[in-house]
Amino acid sequence: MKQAVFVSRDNAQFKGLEQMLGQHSIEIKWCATGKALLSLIANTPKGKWIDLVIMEEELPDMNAKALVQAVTTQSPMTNCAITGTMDKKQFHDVYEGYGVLMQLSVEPGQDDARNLENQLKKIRLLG
Amino acid sequence: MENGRIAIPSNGEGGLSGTRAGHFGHCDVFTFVDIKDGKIEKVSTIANQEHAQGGCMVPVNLLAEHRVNALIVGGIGMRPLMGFRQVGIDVYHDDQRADIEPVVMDLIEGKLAQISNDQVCGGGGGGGPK
Repeated sequence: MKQAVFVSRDNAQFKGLEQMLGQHSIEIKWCATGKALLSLIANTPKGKWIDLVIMEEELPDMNAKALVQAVTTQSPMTNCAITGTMDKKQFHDVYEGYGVLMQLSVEPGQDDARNLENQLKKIRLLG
Repeated sequence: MENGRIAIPSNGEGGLSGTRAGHFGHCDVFTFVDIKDGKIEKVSTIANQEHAQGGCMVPVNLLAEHRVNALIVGGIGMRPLMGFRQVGIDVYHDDQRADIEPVVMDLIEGKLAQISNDQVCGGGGGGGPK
């Protein structure tokens, strides 16, 4: 079963995304901090990985860029999406080379869920 | 390199006399050069797959499925580099020469260096072949 992890202090904002991922039978987990996510990744059995991480731009213990860099090093197969308010160029400049799927709205709605679903299909994470 | 398969991101139809694509994720085809006992045994190509934003692992999986041992790039992002390392594909770097054959010959002769983390694209990293 594929796994997705939300890294956030506020779970309620991700209801729409959670529902969409649930429709594709993706198991959902939650982490409140970046360190908790990295610990979860470190404890994932060898040869397996978390398929998708959706994180807030600012977390209690680190920002999204630091977390994406750490995830990329520990688990390059893991796909990341970030909620935030950067314009397109800024987002590209900050995350170039890290293969971030997309930036989502701070409170992701149905459009975000649909866009994320389409992107996950493009990279063949969803059938 | 004595034995194994080298992949080169290529423009157009690729092949040993072809030219290299600057960014592996956006290449038209991958040229495969099979090496046996330090000599070129066979050259073939496969089409690249669609490159979507965040789809860095698609070519990683494609080349792993085709039993590639070494990849020569002019530019690559940190995530696909880590992905190639994870699947056991060595990534070599040359951002100066556009032609395929000379970099392949250098790799066979052990004259090409593996890419280092500070040569990746993004965050001040490198680009593609000139």
